[in-house]
Amino acid sequence: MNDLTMQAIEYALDGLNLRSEIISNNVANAEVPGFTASHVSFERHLADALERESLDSIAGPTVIRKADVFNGINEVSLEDEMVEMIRTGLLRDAMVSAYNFKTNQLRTAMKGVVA
Amino acid sequence: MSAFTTLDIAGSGMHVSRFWLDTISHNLANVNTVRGGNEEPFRAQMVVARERLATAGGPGRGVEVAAVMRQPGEPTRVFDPDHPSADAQGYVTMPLVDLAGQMTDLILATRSYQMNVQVLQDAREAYQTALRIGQR
Repeated sequence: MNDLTMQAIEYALDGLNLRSEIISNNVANAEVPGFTASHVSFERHLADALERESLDSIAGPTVIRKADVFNGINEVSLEDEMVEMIRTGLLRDAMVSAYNFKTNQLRTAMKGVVA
Repeated sequence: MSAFTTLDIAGSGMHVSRFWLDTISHNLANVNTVRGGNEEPFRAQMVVARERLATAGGPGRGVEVAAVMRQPGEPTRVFDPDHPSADAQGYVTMPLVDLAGQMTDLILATRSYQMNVQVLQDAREAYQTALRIGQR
């Protein structure tokens, strides 16, 4: 039941959850002088692990500080954070769809042939 | 290249519009910034936008700020000997801000921002519809 697909989806959902939290933290601190926004990166780890066909020794999502935007007070660009938030929500929807697809397949397989 | 590219494009538009709004705000805040008679006047900032191109073919990747220029032109020097910044001859330099132009730009920049937010919302709806394909 706990095959590669399920593991990959669970890992992606964990990463997306962390990303949502980091975005919320960035927006919450948008007015704090000297605060630097962070972003979460996990797609590369996941792609490499899927290449190896094993998620056993995968590294957790990494949190990286951003330094490329500057709004005068600190390093949070509200627009970027909103776009990231929408993207994260869409990716989560996609992952949940994939999870449902997988569970439906398993359910079909368990039912077997109905006479 | 990433999934949901429209979000990035709309985001870049929001970013440039906000930058534009910031410079208009700065220009309007400095509409009374008077300098001394022989000093360089305050010149309004003008945002130069540039399109972000895709690497090969396909639609573009949005917009970015290319440069911030200053309003060109000859400044007006006004005789005001009581002004603390006045030079020996009693002249001060007035700022170079086209107030009417800035106000119309303010409307344009606000609409431009709203437009990009609208695209962002519509793109999200479209992507959500795409994610529902094949669902029961």
